[in-house]
Amino acid sequence: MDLAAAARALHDNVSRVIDGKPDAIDTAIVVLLAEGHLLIEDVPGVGKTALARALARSVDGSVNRVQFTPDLLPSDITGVSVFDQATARFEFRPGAVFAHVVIGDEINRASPKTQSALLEAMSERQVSVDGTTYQLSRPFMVVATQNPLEMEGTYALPEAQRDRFMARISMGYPDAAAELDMIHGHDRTEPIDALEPVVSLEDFAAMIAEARAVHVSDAVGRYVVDIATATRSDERLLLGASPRATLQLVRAAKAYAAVRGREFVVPDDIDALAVSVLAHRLIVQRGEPEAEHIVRSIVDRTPVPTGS
Amino acid sequence: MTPRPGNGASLAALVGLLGVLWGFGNVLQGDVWWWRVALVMVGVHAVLFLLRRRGLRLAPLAGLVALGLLVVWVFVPGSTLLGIPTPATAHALRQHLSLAIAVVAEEQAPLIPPEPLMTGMALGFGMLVIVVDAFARSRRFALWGVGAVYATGLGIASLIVGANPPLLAFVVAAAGWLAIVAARSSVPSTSRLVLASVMGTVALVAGVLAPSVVAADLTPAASTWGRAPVDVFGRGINPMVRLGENLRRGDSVEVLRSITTAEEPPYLKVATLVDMEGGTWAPIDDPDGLPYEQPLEDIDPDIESTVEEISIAVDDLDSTMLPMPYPAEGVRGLVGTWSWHPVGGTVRSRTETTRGQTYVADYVELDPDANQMRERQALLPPAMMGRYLALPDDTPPQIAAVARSRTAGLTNDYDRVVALQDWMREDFRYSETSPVAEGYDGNGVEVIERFLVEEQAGYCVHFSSALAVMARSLGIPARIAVGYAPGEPAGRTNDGERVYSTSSDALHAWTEIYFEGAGWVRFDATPGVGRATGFDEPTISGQASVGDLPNAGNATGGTPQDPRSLTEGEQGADAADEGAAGGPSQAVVAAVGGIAVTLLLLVPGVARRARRWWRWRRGRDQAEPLWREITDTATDLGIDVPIRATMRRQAEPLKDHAGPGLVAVVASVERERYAASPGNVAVLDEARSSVRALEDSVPTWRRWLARYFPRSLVRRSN
Repeated sequence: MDLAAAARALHDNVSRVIDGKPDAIDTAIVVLLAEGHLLIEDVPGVGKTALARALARSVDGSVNRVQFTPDLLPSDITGVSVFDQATARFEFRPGAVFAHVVIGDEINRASPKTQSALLEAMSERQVSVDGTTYQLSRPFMVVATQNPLEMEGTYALPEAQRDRFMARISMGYPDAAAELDMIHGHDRTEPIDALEPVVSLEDFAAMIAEARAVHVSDAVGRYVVDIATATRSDERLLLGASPRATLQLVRAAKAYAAVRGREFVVPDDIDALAVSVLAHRLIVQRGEPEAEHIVRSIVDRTPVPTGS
Repeated sequence: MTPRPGNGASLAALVGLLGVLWGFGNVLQGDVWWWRVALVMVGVHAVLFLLRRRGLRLAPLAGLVALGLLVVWVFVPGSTLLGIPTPATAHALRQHLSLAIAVVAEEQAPLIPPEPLMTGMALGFGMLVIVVDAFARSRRFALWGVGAVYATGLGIASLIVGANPPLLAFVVAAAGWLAIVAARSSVPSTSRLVLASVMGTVALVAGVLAPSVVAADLTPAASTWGRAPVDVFGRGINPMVRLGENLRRGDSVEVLRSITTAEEPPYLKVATLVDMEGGTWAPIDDPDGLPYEQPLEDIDPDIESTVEEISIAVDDLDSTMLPMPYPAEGVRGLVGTWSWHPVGGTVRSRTETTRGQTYVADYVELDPDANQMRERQALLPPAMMGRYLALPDDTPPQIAAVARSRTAGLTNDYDRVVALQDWMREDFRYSETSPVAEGYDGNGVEVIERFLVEEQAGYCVHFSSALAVMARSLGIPARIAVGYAPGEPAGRTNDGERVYSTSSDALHAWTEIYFEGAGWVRFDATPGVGRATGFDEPTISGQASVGDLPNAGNATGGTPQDPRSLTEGEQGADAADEGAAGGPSQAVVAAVGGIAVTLLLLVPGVARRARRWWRWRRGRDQAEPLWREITDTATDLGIDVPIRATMRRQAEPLKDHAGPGLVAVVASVERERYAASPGNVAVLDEARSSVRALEDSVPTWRRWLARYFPRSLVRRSN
């Protein structure tokens, strides 16, 4: 199946559940395709969980949902070995991360220790319990939702951990028409249950491989590095983009290009993704505008390469 | 920010342009003009440089303002109030420019540039400074644009003089241009450098060769160009304006030789000036409104008069106005069609020039005694009186005051005029240079006042016009005659007749005063030139003979009021060609100059066209040039394409204009730029249709502006 067409089908499928948020859906698909993790930061009740569930369903993947609370333990995330009296053996009970899409709701409500258990699994794509290593499924994507920090009872995610998320998006409130649509849709059925998969897991794995093969020319690579370097020297920022950020921007751009049916990345791909990939990793000086604005301004003034 | 390479290139462009200016060294004599024009150019450059350093985007506009101020301060400082331009400044500039145009159209190279010409050149070259500055700073057009300006400038200079400009001019221009090449090739694209060098060389060589080729084809008289032929009175020009210039030329040549039956050779008149306007005496442009010559038969029979004959052979003079004695009865022997000018009794032609003409004129010498003149009033018929008494509104009252004080106690017009004439002849000093201050060799009323009250020195222009203005202020009708003072003896013919030679520096202006019954009588107030008028005091009168009066019926030429053709039929056809060949140079210079200016104006448009053509060619298997053509077209049409932006952002403002082909072009360029293996996707047609759609989406005037003054040549696009 053609990657671009499959991506469109995915998009359409998810859109049946999430009304009026094409950009958020788009980024979510790109992150899934680039094997990254997605951080959704928004007020409760705008469809963060629904987006993650619909995406998992559309690729015929399994979904686990963990509600992060202050008393959640690391073993709830990774799994635990329990003694089976019948077989007189320790048996591994997999935790929440053993699924294709793991939804970590309100991740910043859990204790730092539990948070880091999840984040470790995210970067290693494996879990070690009692000396045994367990591979996680592929694709594997964590969709963590985070309430804005001003909300009560939240722990801020450390920057090292925020860095592990490929992109951060914000859903925002749906507009009036989409919200009205939602009312009628939800009245009749539970929409997510009605979704059918449009891509098999095998197909999706092939799509991931195809997206990885997208070409990044030297010029575009230099463009990304220029942007990352600029964030490091920007006076408004305490902390600029890490090399991991550079890598993830390139990987996201590859998926983004593939979704658009291109086998090469163009500067416009970088331009389109830079804010959602970079902004959440940066630490802004007190009194300066939001990180999104700063990233936008840096990208706007970085010269675009024209040669190959 | 790193220092911009444009500063170096712009400085180099200025230096080269100063070289081009020196290219006019063969046309203009001396070097004062160069220093003054260069001063303005350097000033404009400095202003541009400072403004650009401060990041002012409207630097060229500010440069224009600076240019205007500099020109005012350098060339017409007297008209400002502590350096601030006043309405008088605008007036002075306008006057300078119109005089400059007259000089360009009428004068022949080489000449000592009069002040107004320098003003005009300073304005022109100042604008060129702004233009080459913009060119030099543009990344893509530095070499072509500046080279074209240089080549055109040097080409014009060499076309005017018909020979190559000084070598130094070429060397400096070429050096400046090569310096731009060096400054501009910091990102060396070897092939572009080579191409540019070749193009520039071709342009410069063409600039050198063009004049010799063109001049040879267009100007049969090219051979005479180098040696300053004497052409004072061109076609329909104002002789007064350039009289002083011609007097100061220094290299005098023999203009004509004459033999006369009279005891003394006559003044030879070429033109008559009646109206004083715009600060100078102007020739009459509506002769029908003012035909008043004294009919010869109306001359009081009591006045003694003799009919004399003069034979004139013109040598080195190209003019459409014939040197003639006054008042003339007739003229014989001319080649081609000549006619009387109704005012002033002069003779001129529309088709011939004086060069090589040999002719015989009959004229009347009046010899009244002083009392006869004293009895006569200086009165014209009332309808004519006003015009011959008119003075500009701003005539300083001191002039009339001086005239009254010098004529106090005198009871008749003749004595008054003689008194003024003799006063100036005796008390004033002749000088061809003294009052050449601001204002053009002034004969305007302010200059006359200064001349009378302060300087008391000047040359014929000042004396003749001072006398005329003073006479008019006393209510005496007066006008100016321009022509040649009496010739100098130059041996005798085989028959023993005295031959007189008139040289180019005998050019002269004098005053004519009208007396009832005597006609226009010459008075010459210039010290040391010609003859003062002062008729003999009466001794025993009564010798006047009626028989001596000319008989109108026998007059060969007819009366001056009755313009009549003097065609000498048979020789006409052949000789006319020869005559025409003598003086085409002015028209050719004007035409060539006009063509050159037009060509210069067309340069940007042509360059833009060439660039498009070149891109279409390369666009057959490359998409990048097509994209540049599209963005440049948009820039030309005033659609702002963001620079340094991604392609899709650049394409954003074009979407509404460029039509569907644009998407394909963008995709193709992206593939070419960024894909692993750029496949050839031909999008030439899409690009062409996009450009067409862009052009169709703007108003017609925009399209024309874009065609002839494309912004993309000086603005950097992506």
